[in-house]
Amino acid sequence: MSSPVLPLQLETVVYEKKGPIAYVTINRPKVLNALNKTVIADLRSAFEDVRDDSTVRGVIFTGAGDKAFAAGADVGEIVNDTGVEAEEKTRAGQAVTNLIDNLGKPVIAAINGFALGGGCELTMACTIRLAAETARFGQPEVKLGIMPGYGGSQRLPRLVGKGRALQLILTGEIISAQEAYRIGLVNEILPNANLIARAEEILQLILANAPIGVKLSIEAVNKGLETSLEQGLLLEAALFAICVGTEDKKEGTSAFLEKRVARFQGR
Amino acid sequence: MSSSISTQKEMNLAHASGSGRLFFLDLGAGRVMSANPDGSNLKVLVNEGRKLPDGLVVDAEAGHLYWTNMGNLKANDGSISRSDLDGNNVITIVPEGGTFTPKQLQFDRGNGKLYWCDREGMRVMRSSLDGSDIETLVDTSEGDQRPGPDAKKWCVGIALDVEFGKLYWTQKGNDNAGQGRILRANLEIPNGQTATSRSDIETLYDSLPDPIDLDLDLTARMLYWTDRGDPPRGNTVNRAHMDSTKGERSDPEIVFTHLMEGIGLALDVKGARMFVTDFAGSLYSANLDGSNQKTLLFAQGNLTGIAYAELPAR
Repeated sequence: MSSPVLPLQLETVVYEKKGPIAYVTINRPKVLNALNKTVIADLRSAFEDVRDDSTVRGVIFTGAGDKAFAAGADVGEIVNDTGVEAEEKTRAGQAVTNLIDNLGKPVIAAINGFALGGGCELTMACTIRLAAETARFGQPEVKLGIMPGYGGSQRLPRLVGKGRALQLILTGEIISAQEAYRIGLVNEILPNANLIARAEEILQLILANAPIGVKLSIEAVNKGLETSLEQGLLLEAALFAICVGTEDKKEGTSAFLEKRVARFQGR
Repeated sequence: MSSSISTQKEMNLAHASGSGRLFFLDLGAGRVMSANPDGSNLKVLVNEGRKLPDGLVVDAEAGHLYWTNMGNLKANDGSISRSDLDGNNVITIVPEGGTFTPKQLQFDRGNGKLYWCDREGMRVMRSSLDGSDIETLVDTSEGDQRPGPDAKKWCVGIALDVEFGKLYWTQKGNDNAGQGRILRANLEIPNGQTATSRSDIETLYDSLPDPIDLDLDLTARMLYWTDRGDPPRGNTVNRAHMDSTKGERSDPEIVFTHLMEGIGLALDVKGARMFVTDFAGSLYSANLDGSNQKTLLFAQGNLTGIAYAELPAR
Protein backbone atom coordinates (compact mmCIF):
# COMPACT_ATOMS: atom_id res chain seq x y z
CA MET A 1 0.00 0.00 0.00
CA SER A 2 1.62 3.22 -1.10
CA SER A 3 1.27 6.23 1.14
CA PRO A 4 -1.26 8.86 0.07
CA VAL A 5 0.17 11.44 -2.30
CA LEU A 6 0.29 14.84 -0.66
CA PRO A 7 -0.93 17.75 -2.78
CA LEU A 8 1.94 19.85 -4.10
CA GLN A 9 2.83 22.83 -1.95
CA LEU A 10 3.73 25.47 -4.53
CA GLU A 11 4.37 29.12 -3.70
CA THR A 12 4.96 30.72 -7.07
CA VAL A 13 3.30 28.40 -9.58
CA VAL A 14 -0.38 27.60 -10.00
CA TYR A 15 -0.78 23.94 -10.94
CA GLU A 16 -4.18 22.62 -11.98
CA LYS A 17 -5.37 19.46 -13.66
CA LYS A 18 -8.52 19.31 -15.76
CA GLY A 19 -8.97 15.81 -17.10
CA PRO A 20 -5.97 14.88 -19.25
CA ILE A 21 -4.55 18.41 -19.35
CA ALA A 22 -2.38 20.03 -16.68
CA TYR A 23 -2.10 23.81 -16.50
CA VAL A 24 1.17 25.19 -15.16
CA THR A 25 1.12 28.96 -14.60
CA ILE A 26 4.04 31.00 -13.29
CA ASN A 27 2.33 33.20 -10.74
CA ARG A 28 4.34 36.31 -9.85
CA PRO A 29 2.53 38.81 -12.09
CA LYS A 30 3.45 41.77 -9.89
CA VAL A 31 7.08 41.32 -10.98
CA LEU A 32 6.32 40.13 -14.53
CA ASN A 33 6.73 36.51 -13.40
CA ALA A 34 10.45 36.96 -12.81
CA LEU A 35 12.25 33.66 -12.20
CA ASN A 36 13.90 33.01 -8.85
CA LYS A 37 14.97 29.88 -6.97
CA THR A 38 11.47 29.28 -5.67
CA VAL A 39 9.92 29.48 -9.14
CA ILE A 40 12.46 26.99 -10.51
CA ALA A 41 11.86 24.59 -7.62
CA ASP A 42 8.08 24.89 -8.00
CA LEU A 43 8.27 24.30 -11.75
CA ARG A 44 10.35 21.21 -11.13
CA SER A 45 7.76 19.90 -8.67
CA ALA A 46 4.89 20.60 -11.04
CA PHE A 47 6.48 18.99 -14.09
CA GLU A 48 7.65 15.97 -12.08
CA ASP A 49 4.04 15.49 -11.04
CA VAL A 50 2.96 15.74 -14.69
CA ARG A 51 5.54 13.14 -15.63
CA ASP A 52 4.46 10.74 -12.91
CA ASP A 53 0.69 11.12 -13.23
CA SER A 54 -0.53 8.78 -15.95
CA THR A 55 -3.89 10.55 -16.14
CA VAL A 56 -2.17 13.72 -17.39
CA ARG A 57 -1.36 13.55 -21.07
CA GLY A 58 -0.46 17.12 -21.98
CA VAL A 59 0.45 20.48 -20.45
CA ILE A 60 -0.39 24.11 -21.09
CA PHE A 61 2.37 26.31 -19.66
CA THR A 62 1.81 30.06 -19.29
CA GLY A 63 2.37 33.12 -17.12
CA ALA A 64 -0.21 34.78 -14.88
CA GLY A 65 -1.51 38.12 -16.04
CA ASP A 66 -1.44 39.54 -19.55
CA LYS A 67 2.00 41.16 -19.49
CA ALA A 68 4.57 38.41 -19.17
CA PHE A 69 5.21 34.73 -19.54
CA ALA A 70 8.42 35.32 -17.58
CA ALA A 71 10.51 38.44 -18.05
CA GLY A 72 13.81 36.85 -17.14
CA ALA A 73 15.61 36.13 -13.92
CA ASP A 74 14.86 38.01 -10.73
CA VAL A 75 17.78 40.43 -10.91
CA GLY A 76 17.73 41.06 -7.18
CA GLU A 77 18.58 37.43 -6.63
CA ILE A 78 21.50 37.14 -9.03
CA VAL A 79 23.41 40.39 -8.52
CA ASN A 80 25.35 39.01 -5.56
CA ASP A 81 25.89 35.45 -6.80
CA THR A 82 29.34 33.92 -6.86
CA GLY A 83 30.37 31.68 -9.73
CA VAL A 84 29.68 28.56 -7.69
CA GLU A 85 26.20 29.73 -6.72
CA ALA A 86 25.51 30.72 -10.32
CA GLU A 87 26.48 27.28 -11.59
CA GLU A 88 24.13 25.65 -9.09
CA LYS A 89 21.29 27.90 -10.21
CA THR A 90 22.06 27.35 -13.86
CA ARG A 91 22.05 23.59 -13.37
CA ALA A 92 18.75 23.83 -11.49
CA GLY A 93 17.25 25.81 -14.35
CA GLN A 94 18.67 23.42 -16.92
CA ALA A 95 17.19 20.50 -14.99
CA VAL A 96 13.77 22.09 -15.38
CA THR A 97 14.19 22.85 -19.08
CA ASN A 98 15.46 19.31 -19.67
CA LEU A 99 12.55 17.88 -17.71
CA ILE A 100 10.07 19.80 -19.85
CA ASP A 101 11.85 18.93 -23.09
CA ASN A 102 11.98 15.20 -22.32
CA LEU A 103 8.69 14.88 -20.48
CA GLY A 104 7.30 12.47 -23.06
CA LYS A 105 4.06 14.43 -23.05
CA PRO A 106 3.37 17.50 -25.20
CA VAL A 107 3.90 20.84 -23.47
CA ILE A 108 2.40 23.85 -25.20
CA ALA A 109 3.79 27.23 -24.16
CA ALA A 110 1.01 29.83 -24.26
CA ILE A 111 3.23 32.92 -24.37
CA ASN A 112 1.10 35.76 -23.12
CA GLY A 113 3.71 38.52 -23.00
CA PHE A 114 7.42 38.95 -22.33
CA ALA A 115 9.51 35.80 -22.66
CA LEU A 116 12.98 37.09 -21.89
CA GLY A 117 16.14 35.37 -20.71
CA GLY A 118 15.22 32.32 -18.66
CA GLY A 119 11.59 32.89 -19.61
CA CYS A 120 12.45 32.51 -23.30
CA GLU A 121 14.57 29.47 -22.46
CA LEU A 122 11.64 27.81 -20.71
CA THR A 123 9.47 28.31 -23.78
CA MET A 124 12.15 26.83 -26.04
CA ALA A 125 12.10 23.64 -23.97
CA CYS A 126 8.38 23.23 -24.72
CA THR A 127 7.07 21.05 -27.51
CA ILE A 128 5.15 23.88 -29.22
CA ARG A 129 5.09 27.64 -28.71
CA LEU A 130 2.06 29.86 -29.35
CA ALA A 131 2.50 33.62 -28.98
CA ALA A 132 0.11 36.40 -28.14
CA GLU A 133 0.29 39.32 -30.56
CA THR A 134 1.87 41.39 -27.79
CA ALA A 135 4.50 38.80 -26.84
CA ARG A 136 8.17 39.76 -26.96
CA PHE A 137 11.18 37.45 -27.05
CA GLY A 138 14.86 37.81 -26.32
CA GLN A 139 18.05 36.57 -24.74
CA PRO A 140 19.34 39.85 -23.25
CA GLU A 141 21.89 38.30 -20.90
CA VAL A 142 24.93 39.80 -22.65
CA LYS A 143 23.62 43.23 -21.64
CA LEU A 144 24.01 42.18 -18.01
CA GLY A 145 27.54 40.86 -18.38
CA ILE A 146 26.47 37.23 -18.55
CA MET A 147 25.10 34.79 -21.15
CA PRO A 148 22.10 32.45 -21.44
CA GLY A 149 22.22 29.82 -18.70
CA TYR A 150 19.05 27.73 -18.92
CA GLY A 151 19.68 26.22 -22.33
CA GLY A 152 19.34 29.19 -24.68
CA SER A 153 22.73 28.72 -26.34
CA GLN A 154 21.77 25.13 -27.19
CA ARG A 155 18.05 25.17 -27.94
CA LEU A 156 17.81 28.47 -29.80
CA PRO A 157 20.18 27.45 -32.65
CA ARG A 158 18.33 24.13 -32.91
CA LEU A 159 15.08 26.03 -33.35
CA VAL A 160 16.01 28.98 -35.57
CA GLY A 161 19.45 28.09 -36.95
CA LYS A 162 22.92 29.13 -35.86
CA GLY A 163 23.04 32.53 -37.55
CA ARG A 164 19.77 33.84 -36.19
CA ALA A 165 20.48 32.35 -32.78
CA LEU A 166 23.81 34.13 -32.60
CA GLN A 167 22.28 37.39 -33.74
CA LEU A 168 19.70 37.21 -30.95
CA ILE A 169 22.15 36.07 -28.28
CA LEU A 170 24.99 38.45 -29.16
CA THR A 171 22.90 41.58 -29.66
CA GLY A 172 20.57 40.84 -26.76
CA GLU A 173 17.82 42.45 -28.80
CA ILE A 174 14.13 41.97 -28.15
CA ILE A 175 11.97 40.77 -31.03
CA SER A 176 8.24 40.91 -31.61
CA ALA A 177 5.89 37.96 -31.89
CA GLN A 178 5.73 38.58 -35.65
CA GLU A 179 9.50 38.33 -36.03
CA ALA A 180 9.55 35.25 -33.76
CA TYR A 181 6.99 33.66 -36.07
CA ARG A 182 8.91 34.64 -39.18
CA ILE A 183 12.10 32.95 -37.98
CA GLY A 184 10.30 29.86 -36.69
CA LEU A 185 10.69 30.41 -32.97
CA VAL A 186 6.90 30.25 -32.48
CA ASN A 187 4.32 28.25 -34.40
CA GLU A 188 1.33 30.61 -34.31
CA ILE A 189 0.35 34.12 -33.24
CA LEU A 190 -3.04 34.72 -31.68
CA PRO A 191 -4.94 37.42 -29.82
CA ASN A 192 -4.14 37.03 -26.13
CA ALA A 193 -7.75 36.15 -25.38
CA ASN A 194 -7.59 33.13 -27.71
CA LEU A 195 -4.27 31.77 -26.55
CA ILE A 196 -5.37 29.16 -24.01
CA ALA A 197 -8.30 28.00 -26.14
CA ARG A 198 -6.00 27.43 -29.11
CA ALA A 199 -3.51 25.56 -26.93
CA GLU A 200 -6.36 23.35 -25.73
CA GLU A 201 -7.51 22.79 -29.31
CA ILE A 202 -4.04 21.68 -30.40
CA LEU A 203 -3.67 19.46 -27.35
CA GLN A 204 -7.02 17.84 -28.05
CA LEU A 205 -5.81 17.03 -31.57
CA ILE A 206 -2.70 15.43 -30.11
CA LEU A 207 -4.55 13.64 -27.31
CA ALA A 208 -6.82 11.94 -29.84
CA ASN A 209 -3.75 10.07 -31.06
CA ALA A 210 -1.86 7.11 -29.66
CA PRO A 211 -0.02 8.09 -26.47
CA ILE A 212 2.94 5.83 -27.16
CA GLY A 213 3.22 7.08 -30.73
CA VAL A 214 3.21 10.66 -29.47
CA LYS A 215 5.78 9.97 -26.77
CA LEU A 216 8.17 8.13 -29.06
CA SER A 217 7.79 10.74 -31.79
CA ILE A 218 8.94 13.40 -29.35
CA GLU A 219 11.84 11.17 -28.38
CA ALA A 220 12.83 10.51 -31.98
CA VAL A 221 12.90 14.20 -32.80
CA ASN A 222 14.70 15.25 -29.62
CA LYS A 223 17.33 12.54 -29.63
CA GLY A 224 17.66 12.56 -33.40
CA LEU A 225 18.63 16.22 -33.35
CA GLU A 226 21.53 15.33 -31.08
CA THR A 227 23.07 12.94 -33.62
CA SER A 228 23.73 12.42 -37.32
CA LEU A 229 21.04 11.73 -39.90
CA GLU A 230 22.23 8.13 -40.19
CA GLN A 231 22.00 7.58 -36.45
CA GLY A 232 18.68 9.43 -36.35
CA LEU A 233 17.24 7.11 -38.95
CA LEU A 234 18.36 4.08 -36.96
CA LEU A 235 16.71 5.55 -33.87
CA GLU A 236 13.53 6.17 -35.83
CA ALA A 237 13.46 2.57 -37.02
CA ALA A 238 13.93 1.24 -33.50
CA LEU A 239 11.19 3.44 -32.06
CA PHE A 240 8.89 2.65 -34.98
CA ALA A 241 9.29 -1.03 -34.21
CA ILE A 242 8.25 -0.40 -30.62
CA CYS A 243 5.08 1.32 -31.83
CA VAL A 244 4.29 -1.56 -34.17
CA GLY A 245 4.41 -3.91 -31.20
CA THR A 246 1.73 -2.03 -29.26
CA GLU A 247 -1.95 -2.77 -28.81
CA ASP A 248 -2.58 0.78 -30.00
CA LYS A 249 -1.18 -0.11 -33.44
CA LYS A 250 -3.77 -2.84 -33.74
CA GLU A 251 -6.48 -0.48 -32.58
CA GLY A 252 -5.38 2.33 -34.88
CA THR A 253 -5.13 0.24 -38.00
CA SER A 254 -8.37 -1.62 -37.22
CA ALA A 255 -10.25 1.62 -36.62
CA PHE A 256 -8.96 2.98 -39.89
CA LEU A 257 -10.08 -0.08 -41.83
CA GLU A 258 -13.41 -0.16 -40.01
CA LYS A 259 -13.93 3.57 -40.58
CA ARG A 260 -14.45 4.39 -36.91
CA VAL A 261 -12.77 6.56 -34.30
CA ALA A 262 -9.86 4.80 -32.61
CA ARG A 263 -9.88 4.27 -28.86
CA PHE A 264 -6.25 4.23 -27.79
CA GLN A 265 -5.23 2.76 -24.44
CA GLY A 266 -1.59 3.73 -24.29
CA ARG A 267 -0.29 0.19 -24.34
CA MET B 1 35.91 57.69 6.19
CA SER B 2 37.46 56.98 2.80
CA SER B 3 34.03 56.13 1.39
CA SER B 4 32.76 59.48 2.61
CA ILE B 5 35.60 61.28 0.83
CA SER B 6 34.96 59.21 -2.29
CA THR B 7 31.26 60.02 -2.20
CA GLN B 8 31.99 63.72 -1.86
CA LYS B 9 34.38 63.61 -4.82
CA GLU B 10 31.83 61.79 -6.94
CA MET B 11 29.17 64.34 -6.13
CA ASN B 12 31.53 67.20 -6.87
CA LEU B 13 32.41 65.56 -10.15
CA ALA B 14 28.76 65.07 -11.04
CA HIS B 15 28.03 68.69 -10.23
CA ALA B 16 31.07 69.94 -12.11
CA SER B 17 29.97 68.10 -15.22
CA GLY B 18 26.56 69.74 -14.82
CA SER B 19 24.83 66.49 -15.64
CA GLY B 20 23.12 65.68 -12.36
CA ARG B 21 22.16 62.25 -11.16
CA LEU B 22 19.27 59.82 -11.75
CA PHE B 23 17.53 57.99 -8.92
CA PHE B 24 15.15 55.11 -9.61
CA LEU B 25 13.45 52.09 -8.06
CA ASP B 26 13.42 48.35 -8.73
CA LEU B 27 10.07 47.10 -7.43
CA GLY B 28 10.87 43.40 -7.86
CA ALA B 29 13.92 43.41 -5.62
CA GLY B 30 12.92 46.33 -3.43
CA ARG B 31 15.94 48.43 -4.38
CA VAL B 32 16.71 52.13 -4.70
CA MET B 33 19.37 52.82 -7.34
CA SER B 34 21.18 55.75 -8.88
CA ALA B 35 23.20 56.36 -12.02
CA ASN B 36 24.68 59.15 -14.08
CA PRO B 37 22.41 60.54 -16.79
CA ASP B 38 24.27 58.43 -19.35
CA GLY B 39 23.61 55.27 -17.31
CA SER B 40 27.16 54.94 -16.02
CA ASN B 41 28.22 54.59 -12.40
CA LEU B 42 25.20 52.50 -11.43
CA LYS B 43 24.87 52.16 -7.66
CA VAL B 44 22.45 50.30 -5.41
CA LEU B 45 21.69 52.72 -2.59
CA VAL B 46 19.11 50.72 -0.64
CA ASN B 47 18.47 46.99 -0.90
CA GLU B 48 15.77 46.18 1.61
CA GLY B 49 13.69 43.50 -0.05
CA ARG B 50 10.07 43.07 -0.94
CA LYS B 51 8.02 46.14 -0.11
CA LEU B 52 7.20 46.99 -3.74
CA PRO B 53 8.64 50.51 -4.05
CA ASP B 54 6.89 52.57 -6.71
CA GLY B 55 7.32 56.36 -6.60
CA LEU B 56 10.37 58.45 -5.78
CA VAL B 57 11.30 62.09 -5.37
CA VAL B 58 14.58 63.86 -4.55
CA ASP B 59 15.02 66.84 -2.26
CA ALA B 60 18.49 67.75 -3.48
CA GLU B 61 18.78 70.79 -1.25
CA ALA B 62 18.13 68.85 1.94
CA GLY B 63 19.95 65.78 0.64
CA HIS B 64 16.97 63.44 0.95
CA LEU B 65 15.34 60.73 -1.14
CA TYR B 66 11.69 59.88 -0.50
CA TRP B 67 9.98 56.80 -1.92
CA THR B 68 6.68 54.98 -1.57
CA ASN B 69 6.33 51.30 -0.70
CA MET B 70 3.07 49.77 -1.91
CA GLY B 71 3.17 46.80 0.47
CA ASN B 72 0.57 44.08 0.02
CA LEU B 73 -1.88 45.46 -2.51
CA LYS B 74 -4.89 44.14 -0.58
CA ALA B 75 -3.74 45.31 2.84
CA ASN B 76 -3.53 48.73 4.43
CA ASP B 77 0.24 48.48 4.81
CA GLY B 78 1.68 51.01 2.38
CA SER B 79 4.37 53.36 3.69
CA ILE B 80 6.76 56.13 2.68
CA SER B 81 10.50 55.96 3.36
CA ARG B 82 13.24 58.56 3.38
CA SER B 83 17.00 58.24 3.19
CA ASP B 84 20.03 60.39 2.54
CA LEU B 85 21.13 60.68 -1.08
CA ASP B 86 23.67 57.90 -0.56
CA GLY B 87 20.99 55.55 0.79
CA ASN B 88 22.07 55.78 4.42
CA ASN B 89 19.82 56.64 7.35
CA VAL B 90 16.67 55.03 6.00
CA ILE B 91 13.66 56.00 8.09
CA THR B 92 9.92 55.55 7.73
CA ILE B 93 8.08 58.84 7.63
CA VAL B 94 4.61 57.53 6.82
CA PRO B 95 4.25 54.21 8.64
CA GLU B 96 2.21 51.21 7.52
CA GLY B 97 -1.45 52.06 7.86
CA GLY B 98 -0.93 55.69 6.89
CA THR B 99 -1.69 55.03 3.24
CA PHE B 100 -3.03 51.98 1.41
CA THR B 101 -1.02 51.52 -1.82
CA PRO B 102 1.01 54.67 -2.35
CA LYS B 103 2.21 55.11 -5.92
CA GLN B 104 3.95 58.08 -7.54
CA LEU B 105 5.24 60.87 -5.33
CA GLN B 106 6.02 64.59 -5.67
CA PHE B 107 7.16 67.30 -3.32
CA ASP B 108 6.69 70.99 -2.86
CA ARG B 109 9.88 72.29 -1.33
CA GLY B 110 8.62 75.81 -0.71
CA ASN B 111 5.72 74.64 1.41
CA GLY B 112 7.42 71.57 2.87
CA LYS B 113 4.86 69.09 1.55
CA LEU B 114 4.89 65.61 0.00
CA TYR B 115 2.08 64.64 -2.39
CA TRP B 116 1.26 61.13 -3.58
CA CYS B 117 -1.44 59.03 -5.19
CA ASP B 118 -2.88 56.11 -3.24
CA ARG B 119 -4.16 53.57 -5.79
CA GLU B 120 -6.33 51.09 -3.84
CA GLY B 121 -6.96 53.89 -1.38
CA MET B 122 -8.65 55.78 -4.27
CA ARG B 123 -7.24 59.14 -3.25
CA VAL B 124 -4.64 61.84 -3.63
CA MET B 125 -2.83 62.56 -0.37
CA ARG B 126 -0.44 65.02 1.17
CA SER B 127 1.74 65.22 4.26
CA SER B 128 4.48 67.36 5.73
CA LEU B 129 8.03 66.34 4.87
CA ASP B 130 8.36 64.43 8.14
CA GLY B 131 5.18 62.47 7.38
CA SER B 132 2.96 64.34 9.80
CA ASP B 133 -0.28 66.18 8.97
CA ILE B 134 -1.53 63.54 6.53
CA GLU B 135 -4.46 64.86 4.48
CA THR B 136 -6.67 63.49 1.73
CA LEU B 137 -7.04 66.09 -1.01
CA VAL B 138 -9.08 64.09 -3.52
CA ASP B 139 -11.21 61.05 -2.71
CA THR B 140 -12.33 59.17 -5.84
CA SER B 141 -13.99 56.27 -4.02
CA GLU B 142 -17.62 57.36 -4.41
CA GLY B 143 -18.31 55.23 -1.37
CA ASP B 144 -16.35 52.11 -2.39
CA GLN B 145 -14.58 50.37 0.48
CA ARG B 146 -10.79 50.06 0.47
CA PRO B 147 -9.11 48.26 -1.24
CA GLY B 148 -10.95 49.85 -4.13
CA PRO B 149 -11.98 47.31 -6.75
CA ASP B 150 -12.60 49.74 -9.61
CA ALA B 151 -9.48 50.64 -11.61
CA LYS B 152 -11.22 53.73 -13.00
CA LYS B 153 -10.89 55.20 -9.50
CA TRP B 154 -7.24 54.25 -9.07
CA CYS B 155 -4.97 57.27 -8.72
CA VAL B 156 -1.42 56.58 -9.89
CA GLY B 157 0.73 59.42 -11.29
CA ILE B 158 0.97 62.91 -9.85
CA ALA B 159 2.48 66.30 -10.69
CA LEU B 160 2.40 69.76 -9.13
CA ASP B 161 2.23 73.26 -10.56
CA VAL B 162 2.77 75.15 -7.33
CA GLU B 163 3.02 78.58 -8.94
CA PHE B 164 -0.43 78.18 -10.50
CA GLY B 165 -1.76 76.32 -7.47
CA LYS B 166 -2.66 73.18 -9.43
CA LEU B 167 -2.43 69.44 -8.86
CA TYR B 168 -2.44 66.91 -11.74
CA TRP B 169 -3.00 63.16 -11.42
CA THR B 170 -3.79 60.08 -13.51
CA GLN B 171 -6.55 57.55 -12.98
CA LYS B 172 -5.53 54.46 -14.88
CA GLY B 173 -8.74 52.57 -15.74
CA ASN B 174 -8.84 48.86 -16.48
CA ASP B 175 -5.91 47.59 -18.52
CA ASN B 176 -6.29 48.55 -22.19
CA ALA B 177 -9.92 49.50 -21.76
CA GLY B 178 -9.45 53.09 -22.88
CA GLN B 179 -10.66 54.34 -19.51
CA GLY B 180 -7.53 56.22 -18.48
CA ARG B 181 -7.78 59.89 -17.56
CA ILE B 182 -5.61 62.83 -16.58
CA LEU B 183 -7.25 65.18 -14.11
CA ARG B 184 -6.52 68.53 -12.53
CA ALA B 185 -7.69 70.34 -9.43
CA ASN B 186 -6.53 73.12 -7.14
CA LEU B 187 -3.83 72.34 -4.62
CA GLU B 188 -6.20 73.43 -1.87
CA ILE B 189 -9.72 72.13 -1.43
CA PRO B 190 -12.13 74.98 -2.17
CA ASN B 191 -13.74 76.51 0.91
CA GLY B 192 -16.72 74.63 2.18
CA GLN B 193 -15.93 71.54 0.11
CA THR B 194 -14.39 68.17 0.99
CA ALA B 195 -12.08 65.66 -0.66
CA THR B 196 -15.11 63.64 -1.75
CA SER B 197 -17.11 66.52 -3.14
CA ARG B 198 -14.97 69.02 -4.96
CA SER B 199 -16.33 71.17 -7.76
CA ASP B 200 -12.92 72.13 -9.14
CA ILE B 201 -11.87 68.79 -10.63
CA GLU B 202 -11.35 68.94 -14.40
CA THR B 203 -10.76 66.04 -16.76
CA LEU B 204 -8.04 67.16 -19.16
CA TYR B 205 -7.66 63.97 -21.21
CA ASP B 206 -9.68 60.80 -21.22
CA SER B 207 -10.09 57.55 -23.17
CA LEU B 208 -6.38 56.86 -22.69
CA PRO B 209 -5.15 53.24 -22.65
CA ASP B 210 -3.39 53.17 -19.24
CA PRO B 211 -1.74 56.42 -18.11
CA ILE B 212 0.82 56.03 -15.33
CA ASP B 213 3.43 58.66 -14.42
CA LEU B 214 3.25 62.41 -15.00
CA ASP B 215 5.77 65.21 -15.19
CA LEU B 216 5.47 68.87 -16.13
CA ASP B 217 7.58 71.21 -18.21
CA LEU B 218 6.51 74.38 -16.43
CA THR B 219 8.56 76.54 -18.76
CA ALA B 220 6.89 75.35 -21.96
CA ARG B 221 3.64 74.63 -20.08
CA MET B 222 3.65 71.05 -21.37
CA LEU B 223 2.33 67.95 -19.64
CA TYR B 224 4.17 64.63 -20.20
CA TRP B 225 3.06 61.13 -19.20
CA THR B 226 3.86 57.45 -19.65
CA ASP B 227 1.13 55.12 -20.87
CA ARG B 228 1.51 51.44 -20.03
CA GLY B 229 -1.28 50.13 -22.23
CA ASP B 230 -0.86 48.22 -25.47
CA PRO B 231 0.51 49.78 -28.66
CA PRO B 232 -0.10 51.79 -30.74
CA ARG B 233 -1.12 54.38 -28.15
CA GLY B 234 0.23 52.50 -25.16
CA ASN B 235 3.77 51.75 -24.01
CA THR B 236 4.60 55.31 -24.99
CA VAL B 237 5.50 58.69 -23.60
CA ASN B 238 2.94 61.32 -24.54
CA ARG B 239 2.78 65.07 -24.24
CA ALA B 240 0.13 67.74 -24.50
CA HIS B 241 -0.35 71.38 -23.61
CA MET B 242 -1.24 71.94 -19.97
CA ASP B 243 -3.25 75.08 -20.42
CA SER B 244 -5.51 74.39 -23.39
CA THR B 245 -9.11 75.08 -22.63
CA LYS B 246 -11.70 72.39 -23.17
CA GLY B 247 -12.63 72.18 -26.82
CA GLU B 248 -9.23 73.49 -27.89
CA ARG B 249 -7.25 70.47 -26.74
CA SER B 250 -5.54 68.70 -29.58
CA ASP B 251 -4.77 65.01 -29.41
CA PRO B 252 -1.75 64.10 -27.31
CA GLU B 253 1.51 63.78 -29.20
CA ILE B 254 3.39 60.49 -28.84
CA VAL B 255 7.11 61.21 -28.39
CA PHE B 256 8.50 57.81 -27.36
CA THR B 257 7.31 54.31 -28.30
CA HIS B 258 8.17 50.65 -27.76
CA LEU B 259 8.48 50.79 -24.00
CA MET B 260 8.05 47.43 -22.30
CA GLU B 261 5.46 48.33 -19.67
CA GLY B 262 6.37 52.01 -19.38
CA ILE B 263 6.25 53.33 -15.83
CA GLY B 264 8.49 56.13 -14.54
CA LEU B 265 9.10 59.50 -16.16
CA ALA B 266 11.37 62.37 -15.13
CA LEU B 267 12.05 65.53 -17.10
CA ASP B 268 15.27 67.51 -17.06
CA VAL B 269 13.74 70.71 -18.41
CA LYS B 270 16.98 72.67 -18.27
CA GLY B 271 18.71 69.93 -20.25
CA ALA B 272 15.67 69.55 -22.55
CA ARG B 273 15.54 65.81 -22.04
CA MET B 274 13.49 63.09 -20.43
CA PHE B 275 14.33 59.87 -18.60
CA VAL B 276 11.94 56.91 -18.72
CA THR B 277 11.84 53.54 -16.96
CA ASP B 278 9.96 50.40 -17.86
CA PHE B 279 8.80 47.47 -15.81
CA ALA B 280 10.80 45.00 -17.91
CA GLY B 281 13.87 46.73 -16.54
CA SER B 282 15.14 49.36 -18.96
CA LEU B 283 16.13 52.98 -18.42
CA TYR B 284 15.96 55.30 -21.44
CA SER B 285 16.73 58.90 -22.27
CA ALA B 286 15.59 61.13 -25.11
CA ASN B 287 15.23 64.78 -26.00
CA LEU B 288 11.91 66.30 -24.99
CA ASP B 289 10.60 65.94 -28.54
CA GLY B 290 11.50 62.23 -28.45
CA SER B 291 14.55 62.49 -30.69
CA ASN B 292 17.93 61.02 -29.77
CA GLN B 293 16.48 58.02 -27.94
CA LYS B 294 18.99 55.91 -26.03
CA THR B 295 18.74 52.81 -23.87
CA LEU B 296 20.95 53.56 -20.87
CA LEU B 297 20.36 50.40 -18.84
CA PHE B 298 18.65 47.11 -19.61
CA ALA B 299 17.09 44.24 -17.67
CA GLN B 300 17.77 45.82 -14.28
CA GLY B 301 14.73 44.32 -12.58
CA ASN B 302 11.25 45.83 -12.53
CA LEU B 303 11.89 49.56 -12.70
CA THR B 304 9.26 51.99 -11.42
CA GLY B 305 9.67 55.54 -10.14
CA ILE B 306 12.47 57.79 -11.37
CA ALA B 307 13.74 61.26 -10.55
CA TYR B 308 16.46 63.49 -11.94
CA ALA B 309 18.28 65.91 -9.67
CA GLU B 310 21.15 68.32 -10.00
CA LEU B 311 23.04 67.88 -6.78
CA PRO B 312 24.48 70.87 -4.96
CA ALA B 313 28.27 70.97 -4.63
CA ARG B 314 29.62 69.85 -1.25
